[in-house]
Amino acid sequence: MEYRGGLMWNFEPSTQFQKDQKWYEKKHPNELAAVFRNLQRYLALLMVSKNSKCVEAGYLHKEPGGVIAVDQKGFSGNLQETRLYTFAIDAVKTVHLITIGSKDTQHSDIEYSKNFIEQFSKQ
Amino acid sequence: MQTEIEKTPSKPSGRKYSSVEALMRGEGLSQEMKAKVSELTTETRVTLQLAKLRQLSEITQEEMAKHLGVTQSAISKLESGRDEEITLREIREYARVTDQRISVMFGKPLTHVEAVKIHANGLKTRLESLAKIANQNEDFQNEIKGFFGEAFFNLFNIMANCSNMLPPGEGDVEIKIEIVHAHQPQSLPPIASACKETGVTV
Repeated sequence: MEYRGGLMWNFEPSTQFQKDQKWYEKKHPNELAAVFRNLQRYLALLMVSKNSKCVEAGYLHKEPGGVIAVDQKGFSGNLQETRLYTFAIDAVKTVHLITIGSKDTQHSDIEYSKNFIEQFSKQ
Repeated sequence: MQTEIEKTPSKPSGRKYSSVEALMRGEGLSQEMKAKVSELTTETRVTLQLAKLRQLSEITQEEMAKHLGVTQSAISKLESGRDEEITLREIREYARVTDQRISVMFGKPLTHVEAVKIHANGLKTRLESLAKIANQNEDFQNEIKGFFGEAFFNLFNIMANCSNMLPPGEGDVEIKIEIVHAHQPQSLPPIASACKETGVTV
């Protein structure tokens, strides 16, 4: 199968994400593993897509402000709702990993992610 | 689930990773976590390939659903789910709708040597079939002879390039291929013709 564009996509974690993943690794390792698996699938689909907006998958959620949330779905077992908030930039083929949160913190996490993107865009 | 971690103003870390595996390694996640992710990934190789095939063919989940006579959410579930949940019919339908070929192999993976031998055997069978067609049908002779020359050059080139990647040793011969003629006389037999065209020097 051919990859499009010739360039590979990359992840770039934020400093908040770096803290989140450590916390989730200790407290909710199964949820983190499931989200990571879906993140890997998201990357694989980006590689064969014309642009990031074309990517469609059940574990991806389009949130306001261009935020894409990757969830833990796709497994049997009793995993708690977990979302990894990302932002893809086609021009540099980079997916920014902003933060991880639960269903309970969904609203504030989306706002946090939107602010991150705004700050990032200003730079 | 309560997130106890406090969110503080954040910025890109400046670190880039080309895969989740590289991310976990670079960020110092545990071996247990890596093993867990690897196990989950192994369970979903086929469904991921189906999703990639659809995405590459620029077919939406909605369109695929219509072709298969199911709902969009069923396609979404299929592509996000585990391999053991899909059927051969669904795999066949993905191949049909995307107009691509899909091969499914069960059992232990081939070793590199086994794979090379199987491919070589496959090549022999196909080339013999083409030679048979050339003998039976004059219309295809020139085309098939031309293809043999091209295939001979390409295969030899692959062998030469790969051989040159091996570590050096005493008594080794450097393999070099150059094209010295773009066209060859029609009267030469196929293999000699191919050698003449490619100017193979060993």
